[in-house]
Amino acid sequence: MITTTNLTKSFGKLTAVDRLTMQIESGELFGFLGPNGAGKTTTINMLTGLIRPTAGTATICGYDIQAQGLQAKAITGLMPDTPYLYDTLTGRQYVRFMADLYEIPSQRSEKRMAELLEMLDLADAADELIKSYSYGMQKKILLTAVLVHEPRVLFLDEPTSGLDPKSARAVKEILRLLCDRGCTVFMSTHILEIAERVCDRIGIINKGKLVAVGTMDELRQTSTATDTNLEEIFLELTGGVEDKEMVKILSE
Amino acid sequence: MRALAILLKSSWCGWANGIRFVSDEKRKKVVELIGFFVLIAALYWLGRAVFRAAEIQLPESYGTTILRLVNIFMTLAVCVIIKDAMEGALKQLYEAPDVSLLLSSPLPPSTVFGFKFIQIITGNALSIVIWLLPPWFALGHFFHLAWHFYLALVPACFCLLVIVVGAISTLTMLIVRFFSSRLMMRVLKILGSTIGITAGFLIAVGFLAPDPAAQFTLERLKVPESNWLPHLWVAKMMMAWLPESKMSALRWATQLVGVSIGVSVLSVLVASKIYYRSWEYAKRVEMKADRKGKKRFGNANFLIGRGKIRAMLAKDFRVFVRDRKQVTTVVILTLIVLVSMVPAASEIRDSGGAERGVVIPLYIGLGFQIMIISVMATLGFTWGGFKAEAKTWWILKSGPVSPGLLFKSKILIATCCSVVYTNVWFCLWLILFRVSYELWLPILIVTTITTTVAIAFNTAMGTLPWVAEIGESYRDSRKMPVTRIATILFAIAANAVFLSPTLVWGIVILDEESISVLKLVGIAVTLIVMVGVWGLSYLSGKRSLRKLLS
Repeated sequence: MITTTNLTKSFGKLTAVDRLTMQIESGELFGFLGPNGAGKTTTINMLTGLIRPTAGTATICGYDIQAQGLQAKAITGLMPDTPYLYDTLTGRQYVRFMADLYEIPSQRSEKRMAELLEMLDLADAADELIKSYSYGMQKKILLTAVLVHEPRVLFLDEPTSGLDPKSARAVKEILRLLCDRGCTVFMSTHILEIAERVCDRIGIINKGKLVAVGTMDELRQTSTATDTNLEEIFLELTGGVEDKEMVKILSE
Repeated sequence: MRALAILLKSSWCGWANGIRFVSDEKRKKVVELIGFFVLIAALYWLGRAVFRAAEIQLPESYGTTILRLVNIFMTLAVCVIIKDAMEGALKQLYEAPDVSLLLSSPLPPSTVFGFKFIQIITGNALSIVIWLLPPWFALGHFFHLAWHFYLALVPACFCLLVIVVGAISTLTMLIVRFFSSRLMMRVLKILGSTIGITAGFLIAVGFLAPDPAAQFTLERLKVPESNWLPHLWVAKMMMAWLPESKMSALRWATQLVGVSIGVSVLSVLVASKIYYRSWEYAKRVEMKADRKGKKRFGNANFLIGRGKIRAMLAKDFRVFVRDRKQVTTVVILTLIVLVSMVPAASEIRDSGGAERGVVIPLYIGLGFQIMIISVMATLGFTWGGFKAEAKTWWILKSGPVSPGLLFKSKILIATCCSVVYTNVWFCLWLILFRVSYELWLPILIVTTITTTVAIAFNTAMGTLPWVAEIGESYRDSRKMPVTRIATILFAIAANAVFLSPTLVWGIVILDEESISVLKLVGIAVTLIVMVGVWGLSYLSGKRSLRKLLS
């Protein structure tokens, strides 16, 4: 469903993503982890056509993101980390705009919008201007707009940050449901607990390089740590163990 | 005082860092300074024209006339400062993101207010240079006054600014504390905008017609008798430097300094009692704000329907009409057209009908003005349309939006709005000049064609990377505001060229009983050129957008 081959992005001398090669299957919920500045958002931006790769290729459902950008975009949805939206539209107008952009028949989109707004606890605020929304509400309307056109591939950058526990749980349930129906979800997150509990496979990126990829069991096998939860594996692979030891020394 | 010093120091560091590290900010400031310089020069020039007119026309009571004229300039400047102070007070005291942080820290509200008060004053300090000083410099230069005059002018104007900001801040706090409601906050904002629009309109009229403006002003001068208005204290203090003046500078200077200190102290005292509570009320109102927007223009779907292009049109229209700046611009431009129409109507009435000798010059002047203004009114869609999408560009870029669709939507909405706006005014114009009904259709077709071409050209200019300033390749460090302004100036000149066929064809239609074949061929050739310009604009716009979307 999503295939990248030697995908690279450089900003001047800095290589943000370095020869990333991976394959994500249909219906898979893929968690993409990494420390700050590791290249997670850059990867998502390249896969959604927001920025051009410096080298390498990527395909979504067989469509090359550069050569067949429009076809690829028509079947994908993106929820970025920072919700920059048309703040003078109401939530409902924005979702409707997105549905129209993806040419979803109005009857279907209205029904789906109503369901999603209800599920995300946003139905009462849907007719208010987006500029009056809190950060969490903006993220929820963003998610509604992304899901309204029923994308086959979904890219989510920190989808649960800023959400209240109830909405975060709703998001997790929605994602699981989508994957069960065959949608592929590519999600970057800092919340390791979510990745560990929800994702089918996990990829860990550090300094632009993919350092590990696999199911939780596969990742455990590669780890030397005795306490093999995702946090330990993550720290071991991204150099966070040294920081942990330093904290221990300082506390003594 | 120590806390205030810390706050001011951090605020200063933030400002200096913005200039030092953000190159775009630096360039923006330079461009702003150029703009301010032009405005200062224009006001200075207007001041000189008015003082010269007064000298020629009213030599016998010249001193009093000068005082009256100065009073008009000062009133205008004070209105602008009041408007800026109102907006500044609302923004700094209640809407700035750091207010919550400051009020939750162990600082007394009076300290927070003191810091914000200084920020409002520094934020409006440039108003002194732009609005207050130029007419006084024109006066000083006109009378060859000594350097003491200029030296005393700046502190006098600063005291005036402190008095105005102090009074407005106190008033704002009292209003928000005791009459806090969404309606009241809106009224305050609308009042600020109205003052701004009126002042901008009067200044625009002054610049467009300095001599009639000076004449009009001189005919309606009133003696300012009240001594309660602080801007008159500045006027009277500065008038002491004029030759043969009997006014005492010291009295007015003492009054200015005393009152400015008094007002500052009073506002801090009031703040210590009510600022925190008023902020709480404002927050409560804010929570309820903007919920009324749900039904406004909510029926646009009913009118436009749905679908990709329709969704884009509806979105662009809603974003435009809900942007206060765009609406204000359209209102100011409409007022300017109205001001031009009224004298034209009286000229027609005086001439006793639509004589060709009267109609054609008016057609050239007024028709061209209407076209230019209608094109300017839609700049928010054309030149600024893509730049306005900078933050939301990711939505279009990650969606199934082709460059053609994007360009078509912008060009369509801008053309629709501009053609409607132009033709409404032109219909009024045709009624006003009692033009024969047979000529209506050709004239309206001509205006529609030329407006459409100008809009296409402007939209294409708006897609240029340094005008749109969007996309990956346009990071802060690569922004080129000077090139942007140069391009906009070029586009203005090009617009004048594109709109001129309206005048030429109009003159041909109005001037001839029967149009010769040669002239018809001329019209046809111009039409082909116009279609060519439209086509080229469309293709180049699409090409630029393809780069921005890729």
